[in-house]
Amino acid sequence: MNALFFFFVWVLASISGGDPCDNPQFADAHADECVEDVAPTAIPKSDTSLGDISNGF
Amino acid sequence: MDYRSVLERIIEQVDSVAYLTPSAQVDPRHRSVLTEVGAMIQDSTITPDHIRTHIQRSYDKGRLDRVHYLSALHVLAASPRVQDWAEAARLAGEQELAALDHGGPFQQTNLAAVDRHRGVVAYLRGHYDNALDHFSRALERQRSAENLGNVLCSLVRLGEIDEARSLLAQIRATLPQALVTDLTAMVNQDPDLALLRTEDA
Repeated sequence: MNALFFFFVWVLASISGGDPCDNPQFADAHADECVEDVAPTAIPKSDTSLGDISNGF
Repeated sequence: MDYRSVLERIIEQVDSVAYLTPSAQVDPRHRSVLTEVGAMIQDSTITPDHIRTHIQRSYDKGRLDRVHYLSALHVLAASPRVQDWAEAARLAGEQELAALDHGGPFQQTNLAAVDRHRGVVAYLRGHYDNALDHFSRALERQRSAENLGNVLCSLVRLGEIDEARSLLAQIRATLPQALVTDLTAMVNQDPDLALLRTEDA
């Protein structure tokens, strides 16, 4: 029963674009998967973007 | 349709726009040639070889001195379509020697360009702390919106958002209005500086 409930929470969250970990019950039951996001200390550049930097002559 | 190639073309366009090559601060005698070179670098239909030839001919005709000839070759080497980092770094070193030998009233501006070029190579290779060091030296030699913008970009990349905001507030309060206006325009246009935007700016 619990598994079915969590499955619906997951489906609902997926459809609505939300994160199932936002649901406290789901988060408690899936503590390993629902690790709290930590803000990065630096903003990495992607491999393709060269950045908006100014290289005046 | 090959969506990957379309995406690569879009990224190439965005990156070309993102790499800025202003010439407004340059010695007026060389400004027109460098403005031409800057426009050619931004134009994806013109090949790097063609631009290199244009720079060489301008130097041969005396439209560029050696310092600005080397600077133009560096800006091309470090551009998104070339990305020849070893050549870009070598040219910056050669430009520094030329600027020292040349001397004159524009020496500090010329050396600031060398610091900026070295910072750009470090920044584009992802070495933001090293880039910040070079950009800070460029700023010490030449107080310009361009050099300030590069310092802010490095601080943002290093995650020092509060430091960057504090510096920007200090600049707005203390530096000349023309410079503040230029910098505010840069902050409002540059996606890298989006975190520093304020509603009143």
